[in-house]
Amino acid sequence: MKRLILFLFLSAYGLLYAMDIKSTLKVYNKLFSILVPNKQTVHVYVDDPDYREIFSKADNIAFARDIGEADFVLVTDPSILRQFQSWKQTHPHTSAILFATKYSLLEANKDVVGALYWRKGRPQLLFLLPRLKAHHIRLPDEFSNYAVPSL
Amino acid sequence: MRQGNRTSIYILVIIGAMLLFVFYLQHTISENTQKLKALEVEKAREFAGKIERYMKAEVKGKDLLDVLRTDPEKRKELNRVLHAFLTKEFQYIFLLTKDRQGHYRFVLDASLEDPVAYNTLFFPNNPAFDEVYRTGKPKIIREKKSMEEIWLSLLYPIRSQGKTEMLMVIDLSKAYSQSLSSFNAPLIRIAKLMQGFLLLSILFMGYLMLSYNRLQKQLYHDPLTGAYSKYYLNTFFDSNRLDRYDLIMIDIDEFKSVNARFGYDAGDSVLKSFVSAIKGKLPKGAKLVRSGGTEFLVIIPKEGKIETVSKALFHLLKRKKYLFDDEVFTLTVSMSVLETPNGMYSLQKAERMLDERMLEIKNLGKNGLRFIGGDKEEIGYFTLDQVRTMLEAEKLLCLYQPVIDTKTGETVRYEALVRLIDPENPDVLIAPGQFMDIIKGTSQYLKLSKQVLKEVFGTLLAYPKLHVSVNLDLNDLYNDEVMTMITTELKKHAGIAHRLSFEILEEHEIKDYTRVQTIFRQLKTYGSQIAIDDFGSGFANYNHVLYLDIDVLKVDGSLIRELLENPERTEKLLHSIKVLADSFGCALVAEFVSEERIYKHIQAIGFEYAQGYYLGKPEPIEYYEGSLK
Repeated sequence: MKRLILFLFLSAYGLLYAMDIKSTLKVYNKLFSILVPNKQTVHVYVDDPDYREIFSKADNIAFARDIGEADFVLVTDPSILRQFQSWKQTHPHTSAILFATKYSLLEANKDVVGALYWRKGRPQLLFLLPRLKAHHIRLPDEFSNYAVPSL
Repeated sequence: MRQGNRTSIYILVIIGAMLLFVFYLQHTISENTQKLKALEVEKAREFAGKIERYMKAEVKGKDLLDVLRTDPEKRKELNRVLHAFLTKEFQYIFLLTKDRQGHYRFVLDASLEDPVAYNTLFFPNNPAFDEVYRTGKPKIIREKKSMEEIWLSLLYPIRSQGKTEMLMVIDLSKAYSQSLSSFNAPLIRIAKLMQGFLLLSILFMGYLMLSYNRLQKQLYHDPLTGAYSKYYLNTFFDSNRLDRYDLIMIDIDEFKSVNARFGYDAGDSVLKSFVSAIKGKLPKGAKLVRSGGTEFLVIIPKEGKIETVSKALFHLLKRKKYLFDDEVFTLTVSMSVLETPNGMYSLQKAERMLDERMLEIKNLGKNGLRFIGGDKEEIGYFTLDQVRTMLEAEKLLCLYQPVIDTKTGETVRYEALVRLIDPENPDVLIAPGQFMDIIKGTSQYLKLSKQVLKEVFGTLLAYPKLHVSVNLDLNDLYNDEVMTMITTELKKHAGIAHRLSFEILEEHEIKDYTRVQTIFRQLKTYGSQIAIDDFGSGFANYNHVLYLDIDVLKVDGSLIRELLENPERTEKLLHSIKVLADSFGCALVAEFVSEERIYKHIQAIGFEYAQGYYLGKPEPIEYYEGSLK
């Protein structure tokens, strides 16, 4: 009986965990398809261990060792922005797409094209049209409501 | 069985009612929780109204949104006001407005720890925001499950000049909803535990009822024949009055021969078929009980049909044919029937009566049906313990019935007849028919014989001219103690031996005539006479006359009585016995001479002696011979 209860608990926990990872991956895969189109494998530069664990579950995501290798840079804190600035000074024509997980990081750097974050308990997806334009990115219609010309 | 089921059903109904009550309780608690939550929503709506009125009052007639757009100090001040409304119930309170592109932007935010700056973009991801903005009607919405902190959101429009210019959002926290739920949670938990317990109780009761019924079925039925068991019989009469039913005891005669000839499987098969035949003949409400290996008891509700039913059963079972190994055979049965009298409650007594009547049938050669009437006298049987007590207290006496010389009319001797004295009423004397069969084969029988002999010897000594005959069973004569007692007394009082006759109650077949003859000779040596009782019935056959030295033949009362019913043929038979007795030098005694006609007959036949109620009833010896005093 005890074994059965333990098995059911682990199964339920595992299912919830899998669903969380699955939904996050689903959202980011959608973002990749918009922001980094035509790439079978997206090279993502990310420092945050939680996101690394989530992305490690996907077959189409590879971790970039540095910003130079990255197609997509996930900005989870200001240190990533500093790394980017430093890289950009030596490589001004870098094409990596910067995407933030906080509104403040979106505000802090003009190279960040958008952000996915939580506000007042609600998920917020936000794109800045001029910054997308700089990367020649066009949003599908379904995302047009989340795009603004300026903050 | 019915009683057990009824009790279980009552318990199930009570548990069911309790379960319904618990469901009702749970429903009421949930309803109260919902009411409590509805009150909180109403409170949020009142707060929103108050906040709106307060803010509008603060701007003193100016357009609120214009003031907030242009006056950062006023925004700070009103943010603090909003913050005052933040309680544990309200997770967030903030004001939004729409920009020219139709995007929502923050105007005020009550949060002090993590305030959102003025004009910051906000994407509500819920069409209800636009709806409230458009219609100007407040609305409560339940947020998506993914919003873990928010339970409900109140969208409250702040309007100016007929247009919505801002939207106040009050988010009720999920934690508070949970705390409201948890307010009644202990009650809900108790109700659920009770539900679980009661459901388990119902399951357990169901299981117990099933087990009980299964066990009862096993206990109540004989597994071989399907007839009811002895256990059922006892249980049945625990809850039913015995005197509402008549009883038939059926025993298959010589069943052992079936097993011996065809084997036990065949025996089982015959029993099943036998039971099936009886069941098919039983009236409504009757029950068949297998009370022994080949013994059955039929319980029939009293409807005055017992005689018809028992006779029909008797003939059916006699005629019934059984087939085994290509051999067709029939069985005979012995049946005793008790028409239970009113007021009879003891099943044990009834069974004893049936058993005794069954024994009589068996002794008479089996294959018979006998009835026991409903008269209470018939059921006055005593238990072995009662007889033992009476014998230990020597509650016993002998009555004496005169034996008359048919030629002179004088009393030649008396037959000593034993009676027990009722311990509760010394005036009541208990005849042997009411206790003799119970003590036969027990040590009490020997005790009785010895006490009778002691009484008879006392009478002989007290009345020097008296001649007495006393009944003895063959087993008494086989017993050393009894024989020693007799011979000792005869030796001690030489004058009494020739005044004493021994009437041998011949209920057992004599297998060793030499031994019996030796005993008889020993008694006759002292001068006593030997008589054979009940000659002409049972085992008392011509062999006795042939092999034993007998002085008197006492002809069985059943033959004497036949003189009234069938005088011609009976006389012929009695004549032949007279010739036989004369040939062997035996005197003849006629018993049961109950009226003059019989007496005349036996006188005519030439019987030397006669006894019976017509000639003298059994009475204390003083009645006939006078008191010694």
